[in-house]
Amino acid sequence: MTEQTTSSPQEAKEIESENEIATRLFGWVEGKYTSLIILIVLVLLSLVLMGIEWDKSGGFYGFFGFTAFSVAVLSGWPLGSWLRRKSSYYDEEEDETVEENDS
Amino acid sequence: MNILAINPGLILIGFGLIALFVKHLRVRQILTIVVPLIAIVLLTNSQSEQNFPPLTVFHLDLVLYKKDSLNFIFALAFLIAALINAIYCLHTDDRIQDGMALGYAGSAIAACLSGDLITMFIFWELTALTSVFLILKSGTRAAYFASMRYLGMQILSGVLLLTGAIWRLQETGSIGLDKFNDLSEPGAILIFFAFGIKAAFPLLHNWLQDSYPKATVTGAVILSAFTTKLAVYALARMFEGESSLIWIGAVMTVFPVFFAVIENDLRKVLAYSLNNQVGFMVCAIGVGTELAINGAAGHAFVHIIYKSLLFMSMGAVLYRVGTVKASEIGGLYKSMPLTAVFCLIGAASISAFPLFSGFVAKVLTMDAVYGGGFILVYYMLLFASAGVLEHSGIKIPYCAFFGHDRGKRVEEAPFNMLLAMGIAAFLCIAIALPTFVPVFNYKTLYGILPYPDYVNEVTPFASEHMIKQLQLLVLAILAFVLLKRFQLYPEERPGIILDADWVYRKPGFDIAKWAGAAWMKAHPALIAFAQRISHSTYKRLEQTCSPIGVFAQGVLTGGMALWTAALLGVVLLLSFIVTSF
Repeated sequence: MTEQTTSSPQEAKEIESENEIATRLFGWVEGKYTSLIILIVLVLLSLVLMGIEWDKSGGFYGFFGFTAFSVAVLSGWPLGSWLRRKSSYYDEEEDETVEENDS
Repeated sequence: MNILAINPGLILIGFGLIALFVKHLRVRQILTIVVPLIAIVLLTNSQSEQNFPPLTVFHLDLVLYKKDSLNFIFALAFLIAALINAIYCLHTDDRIQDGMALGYAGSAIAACLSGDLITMFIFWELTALTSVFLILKSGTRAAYFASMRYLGMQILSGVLLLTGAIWRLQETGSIGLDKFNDLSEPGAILIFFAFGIKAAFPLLHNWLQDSYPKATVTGAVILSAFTTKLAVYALARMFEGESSLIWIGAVMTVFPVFFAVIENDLRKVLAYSLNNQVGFMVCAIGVGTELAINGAAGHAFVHIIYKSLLFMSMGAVLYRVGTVKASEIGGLYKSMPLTAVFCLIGAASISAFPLFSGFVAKVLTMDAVYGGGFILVYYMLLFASAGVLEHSGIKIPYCAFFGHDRGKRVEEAPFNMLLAMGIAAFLCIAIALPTFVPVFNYKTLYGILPYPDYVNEVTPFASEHMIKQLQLLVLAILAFVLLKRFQLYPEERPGIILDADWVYRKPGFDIAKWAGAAWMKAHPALIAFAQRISHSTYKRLEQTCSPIGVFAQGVLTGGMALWTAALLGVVLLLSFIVTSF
């Protein structure tokens, strides 16, 4: 596997033009208040969604989604410390040197 | 000869074999793209339920091609995957991979379209033999060991299938793919486990997480499409309505969630995610109603495409950066924005966001499970849906393209990779839109389901389905944002995560090593002991029975010989008299 470098001017130019695409598509990600805005939007959206058909389901699926997701993520703390081992645990190289013959 | 009577999989296998010997890259590239296209035309134009003449071998009528509404959707998905994969592989120059990829896809398609157990077995094994090269070609020591374990499990699956088929043949005189009504029927349990290995049932699943992440960049994409979905088809064909599958499937959806959360290798996360998704299909097959089978088949179809897309995006990252370890990458949207967009489309599809393909397929399964009265299973699938969002919907794109920027600046993926991802992303949306969009709407998918008439009753964009799904997903995303904000989300850390394969990779392997060493030490002593025993036995026999032995001594011997001769004479005389009359 050869890691791509940015040494040649042509490549550097290509990456620069790609960065333009990145800025246009995802420039907003770097914004100072982006994470706060996302949080506010999500809270408002959640309230709206939970409000719809509240009388029917009482927002059950919302509560379920929130709880299930939290349980899955938080289980990662004990499971990680219990099941994680060094990469060399099985005495096999766990590398990612992938042979790929470019045309 | 009618070309439409040829199993399209055989065409791929044939040209795959040719591709192995074609040195000219352009010719090979044309082959890998044109052959699946021709096969799609042949498949879609051949008639369903047509009985093509069987091939008689050893008094067995092998039905090489039998197309119907169930195997059509799987075969079509396989061919689309083969085509997209071929485009994704265009930047490589590897005869073995090109040939084996075509052969592997062809074997899966041929097995899927076969009409009897023996034909299915032949192509079942061929999928194993061709696909193992996609792991081996990675060239690492770990890939070598993983490929051997992979091959062992796949061959075991084939052996079980063949044994079950022979058992069934002996007891019933049939090698047909008729449905089993009970696991106690002749051959049923063996065939069930043969399919179970390939479908990666719980505790039989480790070959998947072990091998796929160690395959080549392109190999993992190809592998993700065929083997497990072929098993899903086989289960739907022969074990539709088998109640144990409901629970097996439900467990399959839940347990990978916990492993995927802590796994650092993002291709391994996708392998766990694959397990989880196949669980939904297995569960639906267990429910076994028309709606549920539609759910399983539809889910398999969309899954093949969006899972390929996710593997392609991670393959592109691996190709450019050299790693997909979550602890080593991040912020790659700055270098690979288009790959990031395609990955996000794959993530939205697998998470079953409305307007993406996973939604319109999963709604069938969820309705079938709930409607069947399997309430606990339904909640397990709901939990798994939140889990899918966590590991495939958020973790994969977040860790690779956003999250902690590790400062790696690379080129965007090659054009052919982007094109392949673009086609897959387009399909993820095109078969998931509401009916007011002409052609590109969910009815296109529903129209090719095994029971197309039945699904007219299902309206995925009804407010009931939309609200349920959006509540689940949006609140789960809110949980993610809050957990991140309060630093409760576990940090990605290097290392491997132990799974059930620990049993045979550590203590099992140690016991085998110890037994080998013990044998090597005990071997000379055991040989000497056996020699001593045989020598003394021979001596005893010689002393007793030889001409100089105990039995040969004394007058008794002469008398016995005389009596024996007299007895033989009497017998001869009697037989002469009897035959004379």
